[in-house]
Amino acid sequence: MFETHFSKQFQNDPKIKIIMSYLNSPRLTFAGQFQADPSTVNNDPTHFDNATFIPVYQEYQAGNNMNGWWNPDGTGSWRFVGCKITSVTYKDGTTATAPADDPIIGMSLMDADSRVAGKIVDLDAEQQMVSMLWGLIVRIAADGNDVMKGEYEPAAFTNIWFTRSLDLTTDAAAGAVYQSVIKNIVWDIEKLNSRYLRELKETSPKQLSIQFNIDRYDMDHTSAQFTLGRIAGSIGPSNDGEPNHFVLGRQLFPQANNCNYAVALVDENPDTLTVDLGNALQFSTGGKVAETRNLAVAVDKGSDKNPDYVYLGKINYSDPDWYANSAGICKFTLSKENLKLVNKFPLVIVDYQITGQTDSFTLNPPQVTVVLQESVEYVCADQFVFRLNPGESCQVNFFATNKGKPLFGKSIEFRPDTSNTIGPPPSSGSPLMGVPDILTFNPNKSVKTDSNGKASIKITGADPGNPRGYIDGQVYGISYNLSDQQFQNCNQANFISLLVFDSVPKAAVKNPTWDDIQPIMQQYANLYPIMSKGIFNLADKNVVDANAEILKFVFSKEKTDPNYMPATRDLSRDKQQMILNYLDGVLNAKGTKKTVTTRNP
Amino acid sequence: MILLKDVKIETIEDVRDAVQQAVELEHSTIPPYLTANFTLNNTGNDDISNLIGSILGEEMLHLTIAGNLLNAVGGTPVINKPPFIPTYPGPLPGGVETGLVVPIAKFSKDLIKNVFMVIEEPENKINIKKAAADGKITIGQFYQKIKKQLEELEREAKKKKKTIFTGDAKNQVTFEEFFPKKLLFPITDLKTALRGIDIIVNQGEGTTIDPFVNPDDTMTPEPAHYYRFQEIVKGKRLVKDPKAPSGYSYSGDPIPFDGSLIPNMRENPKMNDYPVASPAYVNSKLFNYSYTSLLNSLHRAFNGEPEQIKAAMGLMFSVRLYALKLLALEDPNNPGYTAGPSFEYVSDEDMTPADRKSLVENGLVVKLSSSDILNSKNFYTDILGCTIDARYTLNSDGKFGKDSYLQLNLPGLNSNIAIGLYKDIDAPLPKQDPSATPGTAPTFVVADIKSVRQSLINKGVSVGEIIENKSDQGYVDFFAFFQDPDNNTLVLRQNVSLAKLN
Repeated sequence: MFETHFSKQFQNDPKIKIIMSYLNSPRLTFAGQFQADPSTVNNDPTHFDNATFIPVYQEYQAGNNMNGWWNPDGTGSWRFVGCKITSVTYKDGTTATAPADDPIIGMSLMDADSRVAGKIVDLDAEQQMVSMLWGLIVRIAADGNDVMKGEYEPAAFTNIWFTRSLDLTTDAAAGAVYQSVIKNIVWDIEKLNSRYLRELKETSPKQLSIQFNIDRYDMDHTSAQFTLGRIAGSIGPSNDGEPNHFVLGRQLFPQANNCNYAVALVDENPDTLTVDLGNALQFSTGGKVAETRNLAVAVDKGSDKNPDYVYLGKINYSDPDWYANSAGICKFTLSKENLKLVNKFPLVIVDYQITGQTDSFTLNPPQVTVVLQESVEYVCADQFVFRLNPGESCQVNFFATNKGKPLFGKSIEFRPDTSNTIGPPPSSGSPLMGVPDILTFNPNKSVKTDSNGKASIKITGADPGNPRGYIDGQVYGISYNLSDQQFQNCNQANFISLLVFDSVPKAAVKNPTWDDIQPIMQQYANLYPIMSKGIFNLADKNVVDANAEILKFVFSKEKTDPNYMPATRDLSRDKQQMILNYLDGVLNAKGTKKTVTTRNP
Repeated sequence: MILLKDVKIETIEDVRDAVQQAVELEHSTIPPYLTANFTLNNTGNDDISNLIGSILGEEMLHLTIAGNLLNAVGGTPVINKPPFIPTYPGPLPGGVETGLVVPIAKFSKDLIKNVFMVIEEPENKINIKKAAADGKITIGQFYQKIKKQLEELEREAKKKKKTIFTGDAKNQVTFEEFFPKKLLFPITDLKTALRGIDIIVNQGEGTTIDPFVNPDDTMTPEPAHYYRFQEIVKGKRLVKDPKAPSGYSYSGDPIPFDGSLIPNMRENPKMNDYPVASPAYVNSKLFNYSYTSLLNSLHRAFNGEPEQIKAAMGLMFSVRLYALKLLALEDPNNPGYTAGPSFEYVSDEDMTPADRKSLVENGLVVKLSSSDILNSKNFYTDILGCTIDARYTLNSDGKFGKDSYLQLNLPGLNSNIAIGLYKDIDAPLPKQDPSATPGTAPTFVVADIKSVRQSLINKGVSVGEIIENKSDQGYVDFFAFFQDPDNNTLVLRQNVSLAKLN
């Protein structure tokens, strides 16, 4: 039964846990909508310049005039809206899709119901392609009870593509994927007779893996669906020590621009191949799959020049509810023989076109085009977005695999590569990125994987100074690849993004005056009109002083708290301390406390 | 003055019930006060807004004190259930039915004068006896009754070396960042309980001789709620005035009012007033979900998780932002008015897509009479192209006799709309001119009426001439009538113009 190298290793060494993720069973699928309500005034880096900021930058985009872009009054909130559990797959591979079979079907998947919604946050105005979710709660709820409730570990999206929905344009046409883990879980399943929940809790009581695909986002502020988009995803088991943000599986790379990355997993109990095409296919009007191809999963036991396909099954996406019910995950039962082949040879997804018959005795060979091709050897950094203050370090954990199994003793190269990774600034006149060169790496240029295919590097950021003038700190992109591969042949979404903040002279941090913090407060007032117009005008000293208590409260929260201020999480350690010291000064001088609802003096 | 129904407060259970009512009462003023204050945002009326804001802060304090008191006497505050929220417009919780009707409305001096000041009006000693005789009590009397019974019950308990303050002190909510210890403290015994009630009553009503709140009960010198509202109405601060008979007059600094920028919010908005497909509905729902989350967080704060009060604070701001968004949206059904916050309970289930129980949630079946199901079936399948939905077939006697039924799906559509043929006649209906037949007529909306009509004619169906029709708004469509084998009238229709013809 345990035929593969990895399984044997597991069998012999009880310390090594089975790698698990949302692609394993017991898995549930959910679908519905999400709300992302980011403020967009800060989408243009030049808007950070207090000297040139004008009030129309807080208004909606009007024709070709970008103003404050499409959502200047965004709250930063990110939440699940109307998500329901549509199907489950049990440990033995069987499934349920009706509440009569398992009461979990039809239950709501929600976020917080007794604190504010999570927040969606760009890393920086000049790196908007790794937006992270912070402070999100994930709950499965039924009839007022939380069946499962936990905290979503902050995560950035990846594998964004802008041709996901053919019937839409700009960001509405985009699709991307989030993968993370749910921690600090509280279960309440005893009252429910749900086989699925029992299995899930038993398999993975402390931590769960969650992944979801987002697309079809509505950016039209006159629409009832404004700030809402479509979501479909999965939750499954998870273990410590495995990557939280990608699957150690079979990595399928698109071979054309009308599809996107996918991942597959071989499970030997029972023998199945599970393929996640959730972010891989295009969609069209009505949210239906826009495929005319006849897609099939196969193993290529031939060579580069002479492929030899063994077909494992057809991908059935024709049911209108296919995506909502499966989140794009397809399952194929493997014969013992096919299991061997799958473990030995690369996977492909092909377009299998029947070409018909020459006569009634002769079937013409099919026309087969490769749509997705496995990248046999693969490396990926688990967490790939970091914020550093001068002198701080972060650890990047790489996992290298060969056909999903750990790759030992393999060398991984990495390098500062901002222009290739993050690319040109989003608008003309934006400050230059990636300079000065202040990152140090340990080890210096490459690192070798251990017996688990793992390798780590430490990146330390020195003080970048103030190369961007009106924007704090600097952003950096770092590319990496296996030493015998080229970065440009890897998944281009796999790179490390870093924001390294400025420092502030110690004296100013210690004893700040209003003049010291005014530029920071003015910038927030400019960039987040929802705050300045709806709650506190931070640019007004009187308002800040009068509300020093509550401002201290929110400015000193943990970054993972959804009430953390600034919601954009782009305040350096020094500036945060400077603001807190200023507020303390105000409070000490005042000696009294105002009630929270006193907005102005 | 608000009058409450007189309540029996004798046992410890009665005290708990009364304090739960106090929690509900203190909460009930918050939605109307908040709404009035939201409508003042960025209108240049900061002085007024700050006055209302200071009262709101104190109402929240009172709610918290009442929650602590209920915990202290071994009760469990209930805040997260739909009935906790009063219906607006309506009476306050425990109020007499003939009393004041409290609306959710935009700020106006009339609202302050006719509603808020009535809520906060202090006891008039002359009225007290009269009111009590009617089975009605004032809010002040209500709290005095609670105080009196707390004292009595604790005295009795003490005799048995027991206490009525059996609640777990860990459940007491304090929030030093916002409410100084002097005003919000753990309630653990009779002394702290009575002190808490005094703060509630004094901040609301002032003392019997002085409109200003006793300095022990506040952080800054301020008049009681009634007089602060009066300041807004008068447009001047209340100050000491030796010349005035009472020693005070509204002759202080002016409190200016400019109503020109206040959004014209429609009074007492409800989420379901708005069409589901409108930004007003979506934001109303998010407002209500945030408000419900706020109640949930308070409920948790008073039920063993006092730290949750911090989450409640964050939600206050969420609630505010969604309210401001609503106030900047047109009320879709009422030109000239804006949408507004409705303070309704929205549960997890309410957030899911099956939003509103709709008449045609799962489809529409049009039943037609048939005298010969098999003959009708041929017409509907072979000629019109319908498909049989075998799941719902009922062949009553094996020969499609009386009460038999056949359901047909329409070509090109999903099965949400279907035709149900039912054998409830023995012979076809009388033949009439179909275009003039009164009664029901299923209408097939087609893309090209000419070609569909011709194809039916080619199959032997008699179809009337194409008739043109124009609606009041200028929409044009074409009709043609025909009949099925039982002379049920059917219609072909083509919508020529979906836009106005001008």
